[in-house]
Amino acid sequence: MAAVNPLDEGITLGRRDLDVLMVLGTSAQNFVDGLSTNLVPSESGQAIRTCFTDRAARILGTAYLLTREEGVVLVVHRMWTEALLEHLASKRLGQPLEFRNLSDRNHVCFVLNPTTDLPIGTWRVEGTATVARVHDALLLSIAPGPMPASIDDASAAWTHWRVKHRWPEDGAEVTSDRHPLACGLEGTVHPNKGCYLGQEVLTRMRSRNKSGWLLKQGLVDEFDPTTITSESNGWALAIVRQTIQ
Amino acid sequence: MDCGTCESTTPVSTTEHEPVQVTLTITPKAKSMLVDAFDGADGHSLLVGVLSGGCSGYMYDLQIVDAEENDCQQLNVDGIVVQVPNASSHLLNGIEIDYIDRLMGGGFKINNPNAGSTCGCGESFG
Repeated sequence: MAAVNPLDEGITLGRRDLDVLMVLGTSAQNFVDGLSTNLVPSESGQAIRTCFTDRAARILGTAYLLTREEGVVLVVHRMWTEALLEHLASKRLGQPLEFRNLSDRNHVCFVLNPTTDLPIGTWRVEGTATVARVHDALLLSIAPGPMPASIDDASAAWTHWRVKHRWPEDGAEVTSDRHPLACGLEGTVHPNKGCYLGQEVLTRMRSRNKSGWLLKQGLVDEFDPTTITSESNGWALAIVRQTIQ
Repeated sequence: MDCGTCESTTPVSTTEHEPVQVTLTITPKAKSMLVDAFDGADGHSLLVGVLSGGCSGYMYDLQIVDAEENDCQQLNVDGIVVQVPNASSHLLNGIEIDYIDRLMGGGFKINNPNAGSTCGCGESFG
């Protein structure tokens, strides 16, 4: 496989560690919205990143979420899949919803630094792939079939991109003992949304500006080495104690 | 993307709670308010359900309905017909339906022995 330069435009990286789940049903958007930290749009064609938390706001899973007419697609790191499905299933309570794991039928890639006119926070079909723009410089692509051998796995280039864009990754920054505000997922906690599991804790932290921990980006030398979660080319992401002014 | 909806994809099998035979109580104040709400109409009943969501994970859903709902248990509690969906019966067994008479935060209130935690507003439990 060719070496990947993280500064190149349009680098495609394979994500064999991501599962594609689907919640099917007319009330799927409402159902997922009631459990997630970010606002799930009701119209089809939208793409967001969101978290699922417990009552203490600890992370139960994160997902890239795509809204479709027939339900909601969740692209989830495999470390969360089983527990997240269990969590969702426990809240179904007879609602006409179905959960499907479509990972065997699809492969997921990231495209770093894409040249695209796709608006941020939306998805569309390009050829056989569903392509979502989840960040100014990041596309998520879900395509049918197995991962082509020609596609490199996410590794050094992905870490470089993440550190440059302060983009928290499952397993590195995002772990089940943290809450979203402590690991750089502030953007997944909607400021005006009420009544979801963990919301009281997150709202209190925000209103008092006390999250305890924060994800910081900087030079490796600026951080206590024990706080560094990712590093690349002398730069690092670190989860550090919040300093109250 | 292969969404798997055009053909028969096997749904993920998830553990479902077995329905339990629900018993519940209604306080005299709540009964009086329900009788008022039914307004003497025949065939009305109180549907006590649970929805997902809320600050604690589940939310109560009280409705007055005029028909027998699907997959529900029918109970007669002191002359009041109550329907409880089987899917949420494990969360509602043993509850007491009360009515709090005050200007703020008043209304029907459910005291639930299955709730490990309850939201401040009383509508959500977990």
